[in-house]
Amino acid sequence: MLNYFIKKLLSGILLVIGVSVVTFYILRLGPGNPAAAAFDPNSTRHDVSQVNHLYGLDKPLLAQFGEWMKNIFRGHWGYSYASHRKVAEIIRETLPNTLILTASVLFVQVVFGTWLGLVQVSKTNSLFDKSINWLTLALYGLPVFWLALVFILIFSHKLGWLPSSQIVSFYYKDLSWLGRIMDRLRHLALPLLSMSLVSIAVMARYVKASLKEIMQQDFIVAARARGLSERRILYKHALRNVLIPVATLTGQYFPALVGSSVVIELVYSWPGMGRLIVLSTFARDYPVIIACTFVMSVFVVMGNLFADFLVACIDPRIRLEA
Amino acid sequence: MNSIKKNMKLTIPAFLLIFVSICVIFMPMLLPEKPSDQSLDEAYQSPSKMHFFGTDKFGRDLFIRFLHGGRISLSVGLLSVLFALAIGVPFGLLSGYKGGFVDTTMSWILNLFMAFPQFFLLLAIVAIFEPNSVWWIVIVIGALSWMDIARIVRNETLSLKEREFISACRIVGLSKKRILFRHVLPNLAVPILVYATLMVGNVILIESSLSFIGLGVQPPTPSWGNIINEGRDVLLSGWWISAFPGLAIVATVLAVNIFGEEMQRMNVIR
Amino acid sequence: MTINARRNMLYWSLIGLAAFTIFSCGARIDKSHILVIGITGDTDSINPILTRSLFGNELSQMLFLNLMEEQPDFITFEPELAKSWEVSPDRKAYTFHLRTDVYWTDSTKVTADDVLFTFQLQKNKDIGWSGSSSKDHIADVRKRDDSTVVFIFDRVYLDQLMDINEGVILPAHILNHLAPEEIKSAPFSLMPVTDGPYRLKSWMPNQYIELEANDLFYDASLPNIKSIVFKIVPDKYQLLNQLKTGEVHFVEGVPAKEISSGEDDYSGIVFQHFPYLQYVQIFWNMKKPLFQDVRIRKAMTLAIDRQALVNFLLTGYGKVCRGPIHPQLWAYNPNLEDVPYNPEKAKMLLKECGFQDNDQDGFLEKDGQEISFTLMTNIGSETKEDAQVMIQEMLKKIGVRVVIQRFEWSVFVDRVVARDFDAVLMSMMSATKVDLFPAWHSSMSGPEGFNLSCYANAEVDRLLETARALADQDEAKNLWYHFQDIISRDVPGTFLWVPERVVGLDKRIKNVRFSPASAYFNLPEWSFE
Repeated sequence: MLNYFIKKLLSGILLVIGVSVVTFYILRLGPGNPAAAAFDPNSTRHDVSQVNHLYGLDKPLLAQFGEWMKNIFRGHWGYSYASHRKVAEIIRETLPNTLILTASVLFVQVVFGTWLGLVQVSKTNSLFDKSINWLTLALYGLPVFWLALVFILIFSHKLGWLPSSQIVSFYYKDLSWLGRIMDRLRHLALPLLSMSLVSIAVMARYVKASLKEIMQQDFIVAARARGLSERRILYKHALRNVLIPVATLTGQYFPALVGSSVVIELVYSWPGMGRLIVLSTFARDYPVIIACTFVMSVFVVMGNLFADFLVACIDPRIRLEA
Repeated sequence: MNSIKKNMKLTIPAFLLIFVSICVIFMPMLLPEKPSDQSLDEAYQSPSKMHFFGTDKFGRDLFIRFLHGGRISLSVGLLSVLFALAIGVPFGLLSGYKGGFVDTTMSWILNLFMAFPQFFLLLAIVAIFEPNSVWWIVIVIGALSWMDIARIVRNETLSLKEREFISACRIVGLSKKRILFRHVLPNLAVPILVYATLMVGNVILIESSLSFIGLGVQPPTPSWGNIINEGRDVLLSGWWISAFPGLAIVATVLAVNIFGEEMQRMNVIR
Repeated sequence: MTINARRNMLYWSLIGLAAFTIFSCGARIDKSHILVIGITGDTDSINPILTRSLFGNELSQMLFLNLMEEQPDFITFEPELAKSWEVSPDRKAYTFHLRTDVYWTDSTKVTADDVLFTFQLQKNKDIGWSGSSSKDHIADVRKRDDSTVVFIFDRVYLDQLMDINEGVILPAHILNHLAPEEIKSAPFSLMPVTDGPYRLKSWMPNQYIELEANDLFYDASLPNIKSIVFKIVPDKYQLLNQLKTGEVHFVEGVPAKEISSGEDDYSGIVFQHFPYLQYVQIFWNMKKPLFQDVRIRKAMTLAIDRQALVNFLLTGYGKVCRGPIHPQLWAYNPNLEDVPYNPEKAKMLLKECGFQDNDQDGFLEKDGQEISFTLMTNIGSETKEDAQVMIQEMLKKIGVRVVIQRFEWSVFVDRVVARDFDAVLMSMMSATKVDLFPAWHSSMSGPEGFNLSCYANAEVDRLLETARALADQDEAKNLWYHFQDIISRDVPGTFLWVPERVVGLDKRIKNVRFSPASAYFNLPEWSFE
């Protein structure tokens, strides 16, 4: 078991290094440079070579990468070209926001997705099953941003129930602790809703398919033979086993979730990493882009590791294999 | 064959997709107007007999733009998937069939690509290299989405390799190339097709998200994604601008998904 | 089953209750005295010496003091940190007497040392201040006593005061022990010590910038509005919707069509507009063979219906631009000859150049080569993108094929700097200083200059060199008028329009005045009714 994880962990670290090498080189090969992005039509003068020198962009690419790698391990992530602030500081500000959003989506996805899947299987071919089936299928095809726009239109502008942007109100600091929690929840509601609807659909369909497969298996048949009620079989025996694919899917789905958070963060002015990377890409802010990709890859790799870990905990067979 | 005819879940989406494709491919040839033709005094007209889908802010006919846009969106979807297949299938075949050290290395590369936050990288690449050409978008989306196909092909090849008829081929002394392309590949056709179908829907969605951020197909070349985006500021007063391409995306993706899932189900049964 | 149903009902009512609490729990805090200004982009830096953005500079004006306050005519100055100033007879020395009642927010007095230090910082190459060229001719700044400084020039010219005034004064006692590299990460760059009407209360990057009245400000009666929140909403449609719902009170840069199409939706909002120091133009790259012929450039200009662009894109909030100098500036020649829309004449000019439609495809050719060029602009400005599309159609009517190119900002700038374009559609903020040397002198065609058309004319070069060095305004005016005449004859660029800035603001806000350079010109004087 321990060996299995050490092996996984090592390959994970290797992957992260590989990812950052590739990102670094791809970004630098592209046209456009940060000195130009800092070009300001209002100033009567701009000196690209001076800015290049200021940022060390005139050194060879390999040397730049070596320097960057060295600094990563020393905890120096450099300065943003666009805002002159410490990259580590910017990441520290934005990462929690993205994590709050994605973690809530994951939570809602797992709980409601599994629940929907279970109910669908327990009432196979009922009206409920069929309508949920069509609903989830339709949600698959909905562009997330479109959903987000419609929600803003309805809940924010027509009904005025929920705020359509920012993460907290500007008077957040003057609120009581209960008020603060409520304020945060109110701001989280719409992004969460627009993002999780599609994720729930994905999860529900997946759980349903896996459950159906599980219900054909020998141990379920045996349980039926023992005369256990269908409900008990489903919730006691099948549910435990469906958690394995759920954990795997959650791990695999994480990168896609981070991807859809980009659009959601842009629409809802949510100050997370997704919005950060879009803004930084436009400004050609290399240190920030690389740091974002790096941090996110770490999370993707960790997400997969965690999923493996969960699966191993739930499923004793895997331990034996390792 | 009989079962396919009876299966509404296969026939209806298939007909829908064929219908949409025919409209999008042939109708623009029959209609003389160009998607960029403007008439400023006809701006923002709601759907009518003259303009089936209304007009936009330049008075351009949205039905024409819708058809041309569909051409672009569907081609981006298809071509990206073909491109992904062109990388993923050989990669998976080789990795699965060779096994051993080759497989270990290739699997690692596969994992490397899977560890990328895909959409992050996609954004960065599309924004940094010139996003103006449709080809770029096709290549970038394709290059970042071949991994799932490669993995599926690899796993299937691995399990096929152990099957008796492949061992038989080997004993008979057929060349590796022949075994791979004549015997392994045809057996993979169905899972690949299923996955590729599902992927087309996905790519159409990705393209529309990119267009939404402003990094997708660049106007005035229409795509369903960027027509939606152009209607954004008048979502209520000019609902027809975003509504039709939006519905088209949902319908197409839905059809593709139902079709793909049904094929998968039938494949499992078979 | 009944137990089940009852349990389900319990679940749903719990969910409903939770949802209700969230929805109904709007905060009950008095916000009526707080002005919320909606903006689409955060500042790149709070530190005035580091910022390169327009908004960053506007923010500096709220937080810090200049020596003087530049007036909207861009010639005269009012006292600010300096209560008075005088010029030596040879005009090479400017003496400033500072106010003695100005304090930094940490209660330290603002003195001549701060002015001296700021000047050194501005000149420091390792800082890379964006306005450093304004200090090129200031040879030295000397302190006479704690409240008196003298600026020494190495030459005499028209805009000496303007160059002195460029950039706000920074606190020496906070920054003078820091190396240039350290200034970026200094606490000052996040929470500065200021001396202006406002102080920074908090900055949540990409969310809010909160300002509050500086209680140490020398004019105790100002500012009227004590709390200002800048709310950053990058999506402009969202921002406009929040203006409708009253979540924000002030938005500048409202698309003109919002007024004509949707004014009814904005209850409690008034729209105001003012001339803005921006101009939009096309530069023809004269390094490309096609645009070397003046007749071609002229034909393009004749074929673009600029009045239609203004009417349609700006719904009249702006006017056709005639020449390279902004109409708001004193050097603008009001009698400049315009090139009116005349596609027939344009066709004739093209025919004169030997272009004909031989293959009947609607586009002209010469020697089998079709007349076609790319028109580039940057992504993100709807007006310019729309203009591009309209110009494409207009030129198609005279048989010219235009290929549209759009790049995101940094790639766009790269190409502009490398002159890697056929024609570029660009909007620029006009500097308040009249000096077109960097924009049109032939030596400025390289990457360091702004001569985007790579225009070279010996007479213009001579005019530009002389005019910028003149000390007499009338004399300079004559030269600038002459310069504008030549440019409008040579058409190195087609000047499309100068827009008006449209601002949507809450009806309760009073005393708002604008300057062509900024919507926040007299922010401290604004008040709630």
